[in-house]
Amino acid sequence: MKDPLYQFFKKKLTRDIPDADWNIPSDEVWDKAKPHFPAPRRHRRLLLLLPLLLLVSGAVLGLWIAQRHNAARRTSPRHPNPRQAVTPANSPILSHPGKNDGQASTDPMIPAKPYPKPEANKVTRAAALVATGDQGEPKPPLAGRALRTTASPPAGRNHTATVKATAATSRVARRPYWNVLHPLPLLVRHIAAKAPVVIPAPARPGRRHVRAELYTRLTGGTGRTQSTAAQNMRMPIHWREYEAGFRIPIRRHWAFQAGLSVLQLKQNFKTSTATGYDPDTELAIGGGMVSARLHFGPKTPIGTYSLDAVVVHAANISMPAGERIDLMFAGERRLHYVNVHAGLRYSKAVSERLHAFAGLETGMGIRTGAGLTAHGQLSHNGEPMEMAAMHTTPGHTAARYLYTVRLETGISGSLTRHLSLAAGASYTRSLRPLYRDAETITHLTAILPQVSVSYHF
Amino acid sequence: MPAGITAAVVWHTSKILPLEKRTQKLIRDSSRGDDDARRALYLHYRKPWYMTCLRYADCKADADDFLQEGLIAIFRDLHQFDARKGSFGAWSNRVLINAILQYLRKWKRVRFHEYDPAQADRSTTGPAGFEGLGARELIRLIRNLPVGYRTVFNLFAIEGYRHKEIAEMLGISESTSKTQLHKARQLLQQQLEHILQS
Repeated sequence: MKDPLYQFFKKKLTRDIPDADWNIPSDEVWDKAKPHFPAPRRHRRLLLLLPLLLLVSGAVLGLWIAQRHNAARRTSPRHPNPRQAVTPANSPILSHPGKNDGQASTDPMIPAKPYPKPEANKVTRAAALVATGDQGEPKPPLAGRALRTTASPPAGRNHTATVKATAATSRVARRPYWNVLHPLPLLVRHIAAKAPVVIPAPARPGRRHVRAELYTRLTGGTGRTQSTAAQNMRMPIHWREYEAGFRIPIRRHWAFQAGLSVLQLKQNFKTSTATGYDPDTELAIGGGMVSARLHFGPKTPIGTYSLDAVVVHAANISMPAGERIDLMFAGERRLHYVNVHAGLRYSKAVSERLHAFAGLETGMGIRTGAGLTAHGQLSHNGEPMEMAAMHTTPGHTAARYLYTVRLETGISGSLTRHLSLAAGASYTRSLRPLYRDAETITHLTAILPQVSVSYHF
Repeated sequence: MPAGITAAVVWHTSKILPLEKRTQKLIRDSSRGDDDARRALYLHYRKPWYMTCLRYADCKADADDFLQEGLIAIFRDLHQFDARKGSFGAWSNRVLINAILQYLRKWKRVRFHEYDPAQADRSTTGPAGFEGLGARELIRLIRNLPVGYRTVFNLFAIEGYRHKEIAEMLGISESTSKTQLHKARQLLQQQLEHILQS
């Protein structure tokens, strides 16, 4: 295309675009098109997070079921489990008191005497094993273990029973499928040692911290927001967080914990700025956080000011191009989030009643509320304007979703058998910005004290 | 809505970045749904976009409609933009033109005349004496053309498409495209001469 006419048109219409009003579209174009723009991708992110949340929920549920399963099977001489107590009704090899001294009748022609009341006849697993002697082997209490147990024999007998179980007769097959690998370490240890493995002693009273527990936690204090703009600006922010959740042990010292919390953030602000608008350069005159959120144009009524978390509706004032508006604002910004936390906690006994702990958690919060109380003074070219009271309504707000990571450490002490009190400190930081402009990214950080109360099962 | 300071500030406060990076950041933020970034991107490109719309439109109201459709298409397809394949200006202009053509097909009856070789004018009269004409006057000249002529002239002379591509875009034959261009050129020359005489 070497036609000079075409080149002339192309040059004039594409390269030398004049600065004029006629080639600027009306603002209605933007306003009409804006509702048709695709929504932000937050929902996609949420959809991506959904499988992860389901996975975590499944893991929590599985651990909880496993804990209940293990607790049901656990037999302790100090705390016999009624479900595992062997009664005459389910133990055909157990002797009937007062007859044959340990030998049950097998003759169907001899009528059996009625059994005494079950309460009087309940015996523990240990007693049942002793009573069986060489007559037979009850089901092994734990998979893949050789078991040696000694208990007080009945009157007139001094007997030690040794019960051996093999993997083939173990309870592995009856375990839920998600727990089939659980006895493998014990089995390997048994094969390597070729010797009976002694059941560990029952948990000491102080070790109940690693059992499942419910907790409630209060975290409060003054954190800060940190903006990474041209200047690194830090502003204090008041933090209150109430949390409730549960912990499930996954190893001897490790526990998985998850909880739900309500987070309240309050931030006071006071700012003064002068701003204006030059239509030729499209430059905002002045600066500061407020000017970045002002909406007005040349020769148009000033209808709406937007100050970060609020929109301030002032009186309609026409502002010719190049003139200046001074704004002074002071107020309080409030944010409310509902957070879900999940993480790991390491706990170790430092004495019989005291435990030191450290934990790492991640959390995701959804903003449930935002508000702002603001008052200020507006002046036009240095002259204070008479204006009606400002009305504030929610406008630009903080992040809808808050992602945080938290490190915590502290010490907990047992108050009673089921209750413990913990005190410590936590460091929390937002993984994604709390506020975000084109260039300003504001994160949330806080080192705060925390106290918690736990109920142990 | 008046031209907002928000977007202007968003654009100008990012002047510390090189132009390309600044644009890329705005594009990235816009595709994520950041309203301020979208607005800033619009404020930066609205003039060339609107100039394109004016060239295809009968009046300013039509140009507004074209731009509105184009904006929706641009921000809808923004995630498809690949900076390695070309500039954002070229990509967005292409999307805008497709939106305009779609709008024309939907709402305007575009009539195309068949090619007549006998009418072919091989003259290559240049724009001598017309350098003083501004873009606004040239757009007025183009706007006086029938829609079919105007569309093909814009696609061929300004956007640089070939007749084969124009034929595919408009669903016409190559010869028809050539006819439209020829007629458009004749009319434009007549108008330019009329301006020169007056």
